[in-house]
Amino acid sequence: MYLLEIKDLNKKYGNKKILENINLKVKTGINLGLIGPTGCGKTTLLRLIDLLENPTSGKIIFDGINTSYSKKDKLQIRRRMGMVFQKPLTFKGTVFHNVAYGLKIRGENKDQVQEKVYRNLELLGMDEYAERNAASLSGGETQRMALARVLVTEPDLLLLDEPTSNLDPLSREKIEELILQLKKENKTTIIMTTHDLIQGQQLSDEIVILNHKIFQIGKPEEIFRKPQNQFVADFVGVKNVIQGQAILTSEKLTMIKKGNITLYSSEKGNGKVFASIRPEDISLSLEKLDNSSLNKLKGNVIQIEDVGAIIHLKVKVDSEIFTVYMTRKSFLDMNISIGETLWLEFKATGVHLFQ
Amino acid sequence: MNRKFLATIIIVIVVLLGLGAYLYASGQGGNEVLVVATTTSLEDTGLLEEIEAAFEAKYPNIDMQVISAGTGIAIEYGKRGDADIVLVHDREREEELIAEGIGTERNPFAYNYFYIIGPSDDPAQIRGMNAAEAFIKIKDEGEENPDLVEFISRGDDSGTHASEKKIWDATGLDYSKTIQTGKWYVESGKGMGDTLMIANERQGYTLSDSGTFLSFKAETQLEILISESEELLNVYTAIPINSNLVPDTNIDAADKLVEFLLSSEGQKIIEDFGIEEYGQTLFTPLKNGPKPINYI
Amino acid sequence: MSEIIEGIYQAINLILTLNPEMLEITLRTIYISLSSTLFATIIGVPLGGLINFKTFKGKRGLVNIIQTLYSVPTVLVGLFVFLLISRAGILGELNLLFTPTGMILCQTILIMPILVGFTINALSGVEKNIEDLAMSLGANQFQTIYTIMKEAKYALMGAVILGFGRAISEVGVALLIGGNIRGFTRVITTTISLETSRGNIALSVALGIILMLIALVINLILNIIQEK
Repeated sequence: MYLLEIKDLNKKYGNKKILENINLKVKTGINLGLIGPTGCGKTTLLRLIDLLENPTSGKIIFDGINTSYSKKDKLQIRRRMGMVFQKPLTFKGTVFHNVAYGLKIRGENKDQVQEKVYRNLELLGMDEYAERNAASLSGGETQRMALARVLVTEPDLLLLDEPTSNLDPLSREKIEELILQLKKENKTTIIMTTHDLIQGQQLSDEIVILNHKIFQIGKPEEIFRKPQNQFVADFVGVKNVIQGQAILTSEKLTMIKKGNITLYSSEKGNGKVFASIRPEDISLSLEKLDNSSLNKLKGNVIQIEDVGAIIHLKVKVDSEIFTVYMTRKSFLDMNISIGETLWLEFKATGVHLFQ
Repeated sequence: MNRKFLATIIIVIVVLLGLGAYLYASGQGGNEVLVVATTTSLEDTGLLEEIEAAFEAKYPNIDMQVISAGTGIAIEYGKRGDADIVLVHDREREEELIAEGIGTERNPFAYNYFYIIGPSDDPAQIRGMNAAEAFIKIKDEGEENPDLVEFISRGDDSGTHASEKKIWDATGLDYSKTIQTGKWYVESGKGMGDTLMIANERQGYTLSDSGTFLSFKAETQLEILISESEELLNVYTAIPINSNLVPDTNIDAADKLVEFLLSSEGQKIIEDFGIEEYGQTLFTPLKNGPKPINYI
Repeated sequence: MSEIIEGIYQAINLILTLNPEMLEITLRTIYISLSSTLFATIIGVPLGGLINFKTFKGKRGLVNIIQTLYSVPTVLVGLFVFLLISRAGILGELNLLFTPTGMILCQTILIMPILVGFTINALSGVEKNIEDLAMSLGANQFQTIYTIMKEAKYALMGAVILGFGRAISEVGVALLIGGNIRGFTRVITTTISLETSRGNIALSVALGIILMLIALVINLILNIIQEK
């Protein structure tokens, strides 16, 4: 059921804690996105999983086998995984030689090597590159070659470290396509790190938000819609987070108070909570409208940011600043300028609560 | 690729083995080896090559191997048992070797004279003097005018250097205090050939064995200024190494070489050597030839 | 300067006439220097690899010592080996002094530091991550080391060529250990030394030219092997 289980994993370099108390179960066949800021320990976690480094404490169990045992076991397990490094290196020689490496050291026969190498190169649109000197490839081509080099060994677990960062659009597209295809085939389990949220959301079945510790594990929409804590909210770019006192007023409604602001949420909460409202869920008007929205707040425009078709406004309500988006057209229609008084309206279902 | 690389290495090894076997087979003329450690002047002139050829023709079972070095290291080879016989020209050290029991006996087999060599304009005006007088004159002129008069010494404890020091001793001057410290006195620390080249470059005086100088004469603008003087006598001696004291030396073959050197055949080779190449003899045989002045 | 022109002429003459003594000396020179390079490579490269891949106390100091030994005077090595294999020495029984085998032994010792040291340099010059890459692609320990060696092959071949260069151009050891015995241990460098002291300057230049030609041919061959 679980291809990979990580239990109470810790990793220190000297006194520096890189990873703390990591617990993770990865089901066979899923795509797991590992997302976090630079230096959060993503790469270290991948290296630990690939058995290139030893954890300071904790267990990594691969397909039911505890990996902390003999060198021979480790080699056998490592041969069932494949890792593409963030900055892929090339061996001296041709692209063919590079891609064939994993098969040759496994002692596969020549015909098989030939067939598999060409099949995988084709998969990445690189079959014409086979006899080229690998050192002469561009960054994107090298990355694709690195992916082919791992895929030929048909790994059960594919580890990808920032597979598309700093790539040309063509290479990026090819690689994303391939990951989606692998996802569809449902054979290969993939753990992929990225700092690109959109990519993580598109390519993953499940997302882990990591910053030395795991902050949240969940489906992409859960992460984006319902961050469980301030770190995730900040990291996934949730705007309009307000900390306040929550009182459960009925089965379906929570009231949150912060200074003179009162918010209503359809989620349950009690005591000290964070409330977040996505900017796109807020509508603006010059006059207070009579509609079903429970939340109606009055504020002043303090900043206008023109980012093309969409205008970002910062509106000060009491002591809080809200970010609101509006189209250029309605912005011009309403003739908004700095200092203008506006009404912000949003539904109770648009207010997400977390601790 | 790996197989090709391995094949290349194997080919290299096979070729080397074959080459080694061939060279060893061709090198070992006889089944008995006689190692002769000799002073450079005998080898450099080419005399020993002729003696070797004649000796090996006479005793086809013996492979004579000549190692040429300075007298000092040649004697050291003998002491350590690496040579079976030494051919040298430094009477004091030879007598030491006999006294220590390492050498069986001194067998003088040839002699010649050292030459005092210098620039043809002879800035110190030594022509016609005897060796000791000439050395004193060179020292005086050198101290007076070190830019014009220099003496280039081997300075390497070779037989030639030992002879040079003996001449300085004969002048009554203190070698290490008065001579070696002089600005005009240059020590090359090299062999005779190199020392002659240095003397030529600096237009200085030097002491040389006759053979080496004659072979270098064409390359230099130096001249023989003094050729026959008692102190310049240079006697070559063959000393077999005592196999009772130094194990594993081939005393039989060594004795045969001594016998050969002193035989009329050997003495004839020594007498005739050099006429063809230099137009004059380089060595005088000692067994039947005229005894040199002051020879004891 | 006329000696040089005459030397070139004599060199051509010696080569064209295939002078038998010259041929023998040349073959011996190749045999001795190539053999010592081979032995030094067989021992030195794995040793350098071992030092590079293992972490141990005093590693840096050891590498410093090895690098210092690059510049050890050949005469000193010769003297050390002489004392060892002279009949009065520990290995005197083997009768290695004044033999080609003794010369090979001594030159092997002489160029060993170059091979060990440059192997360490070559291997440490390979990107550290190559090791991870090889392991990650499933290489076992031996395969990983082999891969790193292959990545460093140009630098390793450079070490071999340098070692060979030092062996073939060497004269101190060849004289002291070989003794320059005609027809047995005489090599090109010792012949040059002898002919120079005999005053045959042009012949010495000719021999020097032949030595350079041999070195050129051997380097070309090594380069061809390297390209494969």
